[in-house]
Amino acid sequence: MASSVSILDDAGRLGHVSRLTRVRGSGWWIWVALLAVIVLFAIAGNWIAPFEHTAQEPRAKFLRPLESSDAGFHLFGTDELGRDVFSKVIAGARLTVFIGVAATLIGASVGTALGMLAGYRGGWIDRIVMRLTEAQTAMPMFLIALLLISSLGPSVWNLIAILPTYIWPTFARLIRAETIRMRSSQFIEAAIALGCTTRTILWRHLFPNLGSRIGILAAISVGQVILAEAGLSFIGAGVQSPDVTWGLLISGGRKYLTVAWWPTVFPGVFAGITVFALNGLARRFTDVGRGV
Amino acid sequence: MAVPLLQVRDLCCSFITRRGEVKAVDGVSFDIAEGESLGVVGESGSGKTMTALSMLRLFGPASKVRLSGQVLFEGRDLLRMSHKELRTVRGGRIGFVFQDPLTSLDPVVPVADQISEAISLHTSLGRKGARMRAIELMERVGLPNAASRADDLPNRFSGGMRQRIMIAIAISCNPKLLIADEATTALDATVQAQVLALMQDLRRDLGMAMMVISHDLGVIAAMCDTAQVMYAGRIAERAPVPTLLRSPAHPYSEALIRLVPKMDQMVHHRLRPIPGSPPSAIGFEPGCRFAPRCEYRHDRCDVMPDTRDVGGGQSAACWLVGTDREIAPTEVAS
Repeated sequence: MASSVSILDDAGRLGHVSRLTRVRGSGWWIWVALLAVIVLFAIAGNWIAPFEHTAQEPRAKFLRPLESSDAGFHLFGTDELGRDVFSKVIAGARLTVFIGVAATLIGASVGTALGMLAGYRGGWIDRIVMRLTEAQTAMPMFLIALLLISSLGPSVWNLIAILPTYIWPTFARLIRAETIRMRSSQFIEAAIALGCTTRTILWRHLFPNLGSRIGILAAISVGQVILAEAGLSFIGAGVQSPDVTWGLLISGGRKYLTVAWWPTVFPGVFAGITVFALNGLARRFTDVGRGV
Repeated sequence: MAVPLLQVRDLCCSFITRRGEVKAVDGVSFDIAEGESLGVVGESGSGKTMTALSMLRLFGPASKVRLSGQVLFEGRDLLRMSHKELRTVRGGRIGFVFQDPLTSLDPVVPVADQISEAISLHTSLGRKGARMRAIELMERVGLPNAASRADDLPNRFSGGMRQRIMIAIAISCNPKLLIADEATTALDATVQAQVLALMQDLRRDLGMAMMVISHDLGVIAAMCDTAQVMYAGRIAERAPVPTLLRSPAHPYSEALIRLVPKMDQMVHHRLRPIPGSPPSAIGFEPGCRFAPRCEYRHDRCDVMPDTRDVGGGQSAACWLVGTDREIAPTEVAS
């Protein structure tokens, strides 16, 4: 008891830090492994899935997880039409991951480019970009996305066009702040003294130095986009059947939630794990960046 | 007499801040001849670095700077040329070595790429050729195993080695003028001596002129033909280095030279710092800027003195030039 109250000396503090490092140091490969499985689902789902995810089996409705039907073993059970939930989850991974990555790539590119320009140039460009990010943050984006989707019509491409608006302001602000910090560093000054053009400086010197931060933020953003997509799909403003994402699966299963929890919960668990793993990995990289 | 390589005329540089205009450089004029080595000495904030930065307009895009005067380099005014033209001068005709070797290199780009970047910016050498030249330059500045270390990141090199790399970048396009801004200040004494020797070698081999900015008179004495003492944004004195060290004409130079610690007097000799501190660069008082700290101050110092010729290439901005300093030193209020 006494030791926990006492002021930590140097050695004690060091011990404390190293314990923390060990916990984090051993944890990160779990996130990598989980993400690897999900990416494998997304890429090679057709070959991995035990059943066709649309194959119906009228005599095997609402089989519980780990039960078997005439067709075979159902790891996650079956839904109201006797379709294999595990196969549906695998099938949903592809579009979920695709939308998440594509929308993040667009949002990150736009946000990073604007952030670098605003931070490096300053002046009116900076003011305009910052006002835009504030305006964006002040608006209820989910409702606006809903409105846009319902007027444009729900489709995968419209989702990919609209979801980046969620994440670009975060990129723009973080990258702007980092750019301002780095702009006055001596290697940028040295590059100017070398006769580099602004484009060369931004692209060859600033961008590579921002790489790790962009990567970390992108990992978190993929998770955010997946959640937003799930939300939109859940209320019917996202992906439409026969396309399938985890959000849509959650939405489809919720009518039968009182009868069977598994068609809803398993896609939800996978969406959760993905977001969790991305955040965990991002935190791990942040620690590495800080030298922990 | 041939036209000097660089002619700076009445260069002024001021920053616009909320509290007013800060005059960092205030009417500086000097020449550097082909192959000459000029030392610029003065305390922090005296405008040495700002003079060099102003010459090449090396200010970030977001800073509010007002420049005036003329900087004629090879007959062209650097202050008035387009950014495109200026970029060919920067790094091509004029090389620049910065103070801190630990932060002047891009941390995520291999060193050979940083050297070849400079080469491809200013020459027509292709990728392969630029890389060959980069490795050659690394060898030239005394980096062992240049070829095998070419793809290392800067953090694999020590401070002295990084400064050698910076020098390799600065000389990569055979500049006519090399500006070294406190290039050895961050290095320890032995490494400093090596880097200084390297710079002298290169200067002799490449026949380039140098502008050495330092607060260390020892560095200036070792490296330069001519020295220029700056105080509060103005040139206090300019003289050949031996003359300056033997018989400084400006009271500030005299005080500076007195402040160099002498090895043989270390035991009982107490250094006497110059009382007071340099004036604030926001709204200078009229008159000589060193007057409030000057031992020889008298009534005429209320008017700004012109630069007066002493003879033998020496000139100083002080009323006492040519008067043999008859006026007795007065007590300086501090």
